Amino acid sequence: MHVTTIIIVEDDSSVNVAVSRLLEAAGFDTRCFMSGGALLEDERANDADCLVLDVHLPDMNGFDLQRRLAAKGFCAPVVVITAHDDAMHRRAARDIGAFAYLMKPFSSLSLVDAVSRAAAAYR
Amino acid sequence: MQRQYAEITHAARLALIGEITASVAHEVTQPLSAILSNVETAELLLGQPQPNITMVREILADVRQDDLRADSMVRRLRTLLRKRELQLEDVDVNALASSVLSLILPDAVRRSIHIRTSLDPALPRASADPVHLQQVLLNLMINAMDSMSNTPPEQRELEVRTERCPGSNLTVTVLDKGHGFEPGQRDKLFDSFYTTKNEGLGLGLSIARSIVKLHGGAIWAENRRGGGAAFAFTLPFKSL
Repeated sequence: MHVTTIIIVEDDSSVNVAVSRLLEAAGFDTRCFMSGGALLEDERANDADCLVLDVHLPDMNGFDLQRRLAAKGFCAPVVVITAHDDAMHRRAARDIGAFAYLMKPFSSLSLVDAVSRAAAAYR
Repeated sequence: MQRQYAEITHAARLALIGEITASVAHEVTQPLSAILSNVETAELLLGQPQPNITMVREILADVRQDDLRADSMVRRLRTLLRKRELQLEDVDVNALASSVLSLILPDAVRRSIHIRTSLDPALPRASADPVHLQQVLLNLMINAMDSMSNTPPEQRELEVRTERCPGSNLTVTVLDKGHGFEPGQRDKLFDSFYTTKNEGLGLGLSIARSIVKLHGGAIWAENRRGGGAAFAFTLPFKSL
């Protein structure tokens, strides 16, 4: 049976742990990264079914990260999460073809729902 | 005079806080977001036939910590909002500088500004009003960030230094890699209603100077050799 794997890139360690716990409790496998660079260096980035990306990362923003992953031929769907909602971010999320855009604090249901639908559409 | 000083510094603090509100909101939203996910995960776990109680305990510990984290941010803001006359206390300037840095950190990240600190671990404590001192630091840091909007992102750096200097003073320096200032501007920088910003009243630095003077210190600005500016002020040590 294929276990759905979700990659989380979030530099706030509390949010990172909480999101990972939630998705694990909902039946997903998760891999967590604290920066964009850490994910780009990881060989196994390619086997994820969906990415949960924070916008403000210490080394790059979530949109640039998605573009760099796409340039490497890696195009799993992206769910954007952000604590700083503005028109520019929404536009950028649309431009990279993000599957969903969630503002923190988001309900667990909305995240699990977005991630499940994104991963199902990708497979 | 004291009263008028309290009013003016308070008004300037409100304006400063306006500039960092988005940053503070961001910093409070993070723990709130983690709390919501954690609580809903705990509910999910407790609904299972054999709930993982160890995990629920871990979750509760994290919820408590995130609650305190959000509270400390709100508390810092609340202290700055209080109107008060100068009250001298025994202040750990390094801790105070770190606290102000944590207020502006999300804003710095948003503006791609790298933060560096070089805080003298043996710095003696100062006799100062912590709220007014935070105001000076906040003002210098926001100016430093504003000055770097045209600096290439990879070069943007805000540095805060503290050091003991000869005599009975300590020095705090805020350094940026921004546009610096024209040599002729140097004496006017601390004048009231003098500003190099498009939007700005030109009161921040003049109030910073009055605060530092009231503490018995001095404040000055210099251009850095490699580009950018350094703003420094001194404070006397706590009298023994």
